[in-house]
Amino acid sequence: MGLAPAVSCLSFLVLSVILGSSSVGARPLDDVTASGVLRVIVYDDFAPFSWTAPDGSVMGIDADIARAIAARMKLQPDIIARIAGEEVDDDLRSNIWQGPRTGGHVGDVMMHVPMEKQFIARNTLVGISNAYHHEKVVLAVHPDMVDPAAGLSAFRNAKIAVQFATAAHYFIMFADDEAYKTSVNPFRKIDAAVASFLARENAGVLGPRSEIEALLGDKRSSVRIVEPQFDTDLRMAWTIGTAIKHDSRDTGYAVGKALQELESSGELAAIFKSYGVTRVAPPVP
Amino acid sequence: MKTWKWFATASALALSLTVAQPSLADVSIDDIVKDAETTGDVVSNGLGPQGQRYSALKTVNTGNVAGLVPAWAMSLGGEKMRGQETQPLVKDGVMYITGSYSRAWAIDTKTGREIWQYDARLPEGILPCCDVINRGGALIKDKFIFGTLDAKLVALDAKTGKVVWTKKIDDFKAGYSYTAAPLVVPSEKHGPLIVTGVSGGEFGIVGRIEARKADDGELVWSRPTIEGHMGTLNGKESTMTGKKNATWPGDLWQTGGGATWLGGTYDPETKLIFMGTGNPAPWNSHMRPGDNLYSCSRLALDPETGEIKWHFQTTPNDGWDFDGVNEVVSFDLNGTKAAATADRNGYFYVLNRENGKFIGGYPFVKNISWAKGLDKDGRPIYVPENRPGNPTKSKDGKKGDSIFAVPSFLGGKNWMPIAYSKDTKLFYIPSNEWGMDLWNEPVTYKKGAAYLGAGFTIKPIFDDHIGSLKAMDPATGEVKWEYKNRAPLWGGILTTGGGLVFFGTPEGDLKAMDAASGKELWAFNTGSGIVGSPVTWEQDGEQFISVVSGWGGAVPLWGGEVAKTVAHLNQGGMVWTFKLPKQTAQKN
Repeated sequence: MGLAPAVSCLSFLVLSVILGSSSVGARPLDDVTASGVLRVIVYDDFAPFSWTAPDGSVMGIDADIARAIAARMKLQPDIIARIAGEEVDDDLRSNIWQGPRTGGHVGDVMMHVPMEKQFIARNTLVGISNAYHHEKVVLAVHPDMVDPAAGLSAFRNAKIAVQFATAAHYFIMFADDEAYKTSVNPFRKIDAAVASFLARENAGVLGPRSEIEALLGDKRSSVRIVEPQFDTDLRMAWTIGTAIKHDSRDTGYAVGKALQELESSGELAAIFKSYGVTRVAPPVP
Repeated sequence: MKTWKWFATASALALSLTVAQPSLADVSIDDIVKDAETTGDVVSNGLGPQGQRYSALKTVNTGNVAGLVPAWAMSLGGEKMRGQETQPLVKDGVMYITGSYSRAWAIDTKTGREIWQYDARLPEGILPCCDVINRGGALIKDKFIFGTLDAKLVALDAKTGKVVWTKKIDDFKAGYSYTAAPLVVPSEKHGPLIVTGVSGGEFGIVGRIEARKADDGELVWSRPTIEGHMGTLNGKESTMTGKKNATWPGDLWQTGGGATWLGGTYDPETKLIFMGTGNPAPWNSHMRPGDNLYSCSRLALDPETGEIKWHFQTTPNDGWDFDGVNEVVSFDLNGTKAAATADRNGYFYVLNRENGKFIGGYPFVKNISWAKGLDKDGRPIYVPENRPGNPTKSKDGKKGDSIFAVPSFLGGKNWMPIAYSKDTKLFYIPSNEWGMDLWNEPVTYKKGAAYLGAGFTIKPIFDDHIGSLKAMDPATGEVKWEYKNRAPLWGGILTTGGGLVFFGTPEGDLKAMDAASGKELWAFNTGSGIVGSPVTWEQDGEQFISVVSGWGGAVPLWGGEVAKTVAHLNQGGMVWTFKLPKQTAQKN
């Protein structure tokens, strides 16, 4: 990608004409196999799932799963970390069916795509399937600061950290007739929320289990993680899968087969574990 | 002049000769301050720092504008045909423009030939929210300065297009970009300052206004727009913006929003910078009871220190995404030092620009639904039923109740600047008549996690038009005339001493209207939609009018009924310059 965007764009046009195929568009399985490379898009700055290390390599659970999938498919992995857009719908456009507005490739597969029915239905240009993880909002507390058995009600008089503007944030601001409104301490990033919790500035932190587990690291044993019941229409649990372009379903099936093998061999759980995260099998729909 | 092109691409020996080039004088801060009075050049965004977009030129006038013909056109080239929202600058026979994908050009104003082109090298994967546009640059001394989509401020040598300095405004990886035209203002202590805001940024980023030295881009002061945050001056903390927790509950001020994504204006008489601020975060207003200062506000700042001298909030506790970023235009209202601004929320406000006090406010679009009107202080009288609901009190179990609000969040007016004529004493407001269904959308995901989004559908109000150019009397709010356009208007306005109003349409026409009556006197189709702002200047006794054509911007990104009015429009990228044939001009 060292070339100026205009130049790389032009060379792609030329290539497309010569090869008689559309290189920047969809890549059905035959094209992917012929190229020998599986191009996978993951989120940047999204530990423990994916991030760019200082040396430029892409690390994390999703990156490792993508490498394992490529290996099962006997392909070279090309893992690309991209920053997130305003919504996942935008990311699907940039990374799977249209390409980034400022130039660059689409991927054959995108990792970490939520799998809710309505969300899948409105994103008609992609195929979303291959559930590989289930995410749930959990509550971590310092047991010496609040009673873990009290659940959320402990936070009528104690501070609770949360990531700004997430479903969890909206929930805790309005729950139980706004009983916790003044206790809520929002942070733009979940790592800052957990850091503040570990520094005991907040007695609890509310957020997705995987991120909280990874950020707690070896301090996990000194805190308690509980799963409160959330009486809300906001989404407090969701399943994670992969996306491919709608006309490249066979690529999706091959990825799905590889993921199944990784699950039954125990490799999938081992990858999660290596980042300090419990892999939760998606519920059977 | 032709030689510059050669110099730009030639050796160091040639470059040393450019220093001796006598006809290309530096742009002084006085040139900028007095730009509105000098018809031979355009050295500021807004044809003068007050932003009136008025030129006294009258060679082209209501009597002869029908004879206007192209003098030259220049293509911006490449495959990069996207929205062109720039306003050209003109000095000493050279035009400076910016284009989509963070590009800039210098062009010979006589021939339309390119002198130099600069292409910013953009990193892959940047995510500008609303097309890859740029709204223009700034000239100061020997430099042309503009912002890039990866949130940098670049100062180019105006003669050669070579980079003199680059400053990072913020991290594009956190979603920042920069698209506005930088503002250049005088200061006694620091010399000429480049004033910018920030565009984009992750959810919950706090907006800020910054001033840098023109010579080297060194930061002088920074002023956050949300109360509770500390400003800086000369590298040290200065004062807090507002009073912490005065109008925000709990800790939400820390993530309050208030982005400053559109440029500001400057009034040399009061020596104040005027800048608008965007909507508060998060979007649902029930999360943050209170006025949420200084979101959705106009701020007046002291260029020496970055202190806020006054503020006026147009939409307290905004719940509709009515950004308050629109330009503040200084003018004289029967002897009062006044300023006017046309807000996203559909109201046109007249303020005393010395103290920010409300003088008058009038709707400039029809069927406004979210407020019944304005009270004596200019505060909206809300319609509570038209505020999107509390997200936890939805009735159907899926999404909150949908409301239909007018205007839509794209605004009664969006970014496109208004103009004020000293002759007719009217403001010319490019507006759009549309509303939106708006609801809480729980099925929203961001970076793989559940959020609460805003679901919306934008809908036209009328069958035959969305765009509406209105001539409004700032003393009474009376609409003197209206021009209706099928597609939404998205370009700026120019008005002249020749009794004319120039503006472009997405359908591609540059039009000239009679400023007093609204009668259409001339139109020329430029071949692609116009979303930029026209300018005019005089050279060798002839009056020229220029506009950059090229369809794009935020409108084509939205679907629904609005898309039908613009779906057939073609991309482009062309500078068009017009003048009267010599014989026609001499008839006057």
